[in-house]
Parts: sequence; structure tokens; C-alpha cells
Amino acid sequence: MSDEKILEMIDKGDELALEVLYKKYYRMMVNLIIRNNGTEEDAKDIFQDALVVFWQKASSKELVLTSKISTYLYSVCQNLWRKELVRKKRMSSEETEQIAHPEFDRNERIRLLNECIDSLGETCQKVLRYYYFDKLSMNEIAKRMGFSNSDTAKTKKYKCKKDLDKKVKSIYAKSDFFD
Amino acid sequence: MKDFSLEVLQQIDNYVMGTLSAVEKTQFETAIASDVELQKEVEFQQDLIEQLNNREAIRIKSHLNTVPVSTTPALLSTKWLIGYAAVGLIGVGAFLYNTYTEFDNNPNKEAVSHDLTIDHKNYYENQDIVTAADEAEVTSEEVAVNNPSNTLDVAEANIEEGNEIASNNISSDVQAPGFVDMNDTDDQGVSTDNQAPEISNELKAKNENRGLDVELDWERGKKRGTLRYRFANEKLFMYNITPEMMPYTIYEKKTHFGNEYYIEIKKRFYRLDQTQTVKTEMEEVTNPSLIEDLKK
Repeated sequence: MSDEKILEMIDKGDELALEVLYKKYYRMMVNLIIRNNGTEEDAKDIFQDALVVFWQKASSKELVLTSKISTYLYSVCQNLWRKELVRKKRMSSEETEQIAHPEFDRNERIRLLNECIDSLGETCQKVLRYYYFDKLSMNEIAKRMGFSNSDTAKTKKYKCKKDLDKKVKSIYAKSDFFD
Repeated sequence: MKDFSLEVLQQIDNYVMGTLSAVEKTQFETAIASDVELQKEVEFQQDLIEQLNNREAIRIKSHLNTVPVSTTPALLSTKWLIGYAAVGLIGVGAFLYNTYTEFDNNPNKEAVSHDLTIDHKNYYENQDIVTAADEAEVTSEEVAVNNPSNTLDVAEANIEEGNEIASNNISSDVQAPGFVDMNDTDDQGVSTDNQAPEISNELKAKNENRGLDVELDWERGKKRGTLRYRFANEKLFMYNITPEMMPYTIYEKKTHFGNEYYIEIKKRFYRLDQTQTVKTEMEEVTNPSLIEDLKK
């Protein structure tokens, strides 16, 4: 599948594009990471992260590709892996005791946030995803959601977000996360 | 918490998403610094938007984890290489070609098909290797680093040009590996442990695009052992198969996602995992319909 076709698919929000890229360049990235003291598991993680970055940049039109997708992905993997190696090195030299408690709080907070997001309707979840994750324009969101125009998309996004804020804040108010 | 106007909320969004201009950003940060409520709201939004994004990333990643990938290993990691050297392993046996390969306990028995004839040659060849390896006092490094390619050459030559050429190859490659009795492996491993030397960069480079070694433990009744294999260039190399374990049969199953390999040892089937990079117990196949399918 050509790079143009892949970008077209991403433009339409077709996640199959990611599968195609994942399969196509899997070995390439595994070799890269293994050659640099990583494991295949590390490689999977890094390559998947790189694909997420690529997806976000491509769907938001933030990305202007001057090279092949493979070259781009390769360099993203390189950078991510370099960062990860630095992080690992730092982690191993730090005391782990100190972070144990905040880590627990954080996980609990993430769980609560997820609960709130899950409780939104499907439309709201999609609109918020398109806006925050895919960074689509209001026009694009209207097109994908079948709204009449970008103003409708804007209003919908605002309402959904307000709804979510309310849910999260009321849960936070019950706990002592947010004082 | 205070309620903010639509404009302010939009500005917070833009700030968190990094879409403000440099000037706008500085202005906004000044505003945050002088307004505790605004600061709290920004922190709240940062947290929430981060989580909205994280869960999408997690969703995509977990979906990608279910995507079948071509995992035929193309690189031999030095960790494995050194690990191998340390075990002091010698032994390379059979390889797989197209359908399946069958070995027989009795090398004199007539083969029933052309494929089997070829494999019998391999069987003989391996017997020769045992002797060659014994005589040559192979270091474990040589086995781990040099042999797969030699064996591949031998195997290919064997198919294309017959036994005689293959035998010549073996005699010129004295470091060619042979079988090790599985039950003795551990002892031998200990005795050759100290011989594992540093592997040169050149050799490391040579090992790129070569298969990954996989080591699997097996247990049958009171007997235990280790089976080692390596996939390289779409072929399977067995390590450490004892004559006692013969016959074994390797099956190739063509699936939608690529080929799968199975080995049958004494009527038990095991999956040969091409993605495996760590030592684990051999996975026995118990699904009767899969076994039926393999036997066809």
C-alpha cells in the first residue's frame, strides 16, 4: 500500500492504516530496538507509541511529510527509544520508595477519570476524541459526525466537555484528590 | 470551584493543547500566576485532557497488540548469543523445507517418499557431525556464532546436489555441531561455561538477519531435557535433539497469518514459536482438531 493511500485512510479516520503500517514495518523496528539493547517487547511498545504519534500528527494535518512514512516512523522510534533508555537509567538510580504512594493515588484518579469518560454517551466520547486526540478541526468533526456545520460541532463539543467536567468534579469533590 | 466563561475554557483548552501563540501563551501564564482558581482549573483540565488522550493511545496500542505480525526473527541478539555460548551447546540438526520432515529411528530403513529420502541424508549427516564435533573440540562460541550458516549451506547443498557434496562440506567445517544427549546437557553446559569468550563486532554484524535462538525445556515422565531451535532464513534448525528422541516430525501449517511450525515428539505435539525470545517451557498442543489437521 502506498504512502498516499495510508495518509488518505488516516484522513478518513480509518485505523486500518495503523495495522498496515504496524505489520509492514514491524521487523524493521524490532531490529532497530534489539540492536540498541532492547527486547522485542520494548520494540512493540515503542513502535506502537510511534504509530500513535504519527496518527495524531497526520490526522491533525500537523505533519508535513518530507520523507517516506517508514523513514519518519523509524526516526520517531529512534527518538522514543533514546528517551526510554535515559528514563530507565534514571529510574534505576532513583529511590523507588518515594513514588509508591503518589502512584497509587494516580492510578485511582485515572480509574475515576475513565469511569466518567465511559459514562458519557457514544457521540460525546467520539466528539471529544476527535477534538482532543485527533485534533480535528470543527469542520472535520462536523463532517465525520454528520452534523450540519462546524457551529453544531462546536456547541456539541462544549456541552460534552462541560458534562464531563461536571462528572469528574463531583467525583473529585467526594474524594480528597482535588482540594 | 469557580465557573469559567466559554472564552476562558477555550483558552485553557488551547493552552493545554499547545495551540496558543508565544505571545498568547505568555499572557495566559501571567494570568494563571495571579489567579489561584484559574490555576486549579488549568491543572484540572491538563489532567483530564491527558487522560482523554492516554486512553485513546492505550486503545490503539491494545488493538495493535492483537494484530498478527511477521515475527520470523531476523536478528540474533548478542544476549542470546552469549547465553548460548555459556550453555556450551553443540548441536544443529534438521531444518524444515516446504511440507514436513520426518526422521526415523532406524537410518537404514528405506524411506517412503522423496522428501523422506532427503531427510534421511540429513540424519546421516548429523551423525557425521557428532563425530566431527567430538574430534574438533569445538568451543561453544564457534558453535553459537558460526554454525547456523554452515549448517544451512550443508542442508541446501544436500538438497540440491546430494549427499556427497554435503559430506564434503561437513568435513571441511569441523566446527559443525552435532547432537548432545539432552540428559547430559546441563553437565556439559557447566563444563564449557568458562569458554564463552567475547564476541567480536564482526561476528555480531554477521549475525544480523540471522535467526533468533530459542531454548525450550521439555519434560516427559521422569525425563527432562532442553530443546533448542533457531529460525533463520525461513528454515528451522534444531539443536540438541538426541537420537533417543527420534523420530520427530516437524509440521508446517500454512495459516492466514503466515506459517506455523509444530514438532511431534513421541506422539506429542508442540508448537514451535517463532516469536519466542525467552526460555519457557514447551507449549504442548492438545487441541485434537489441530493435531488432526497437522497429521493430514
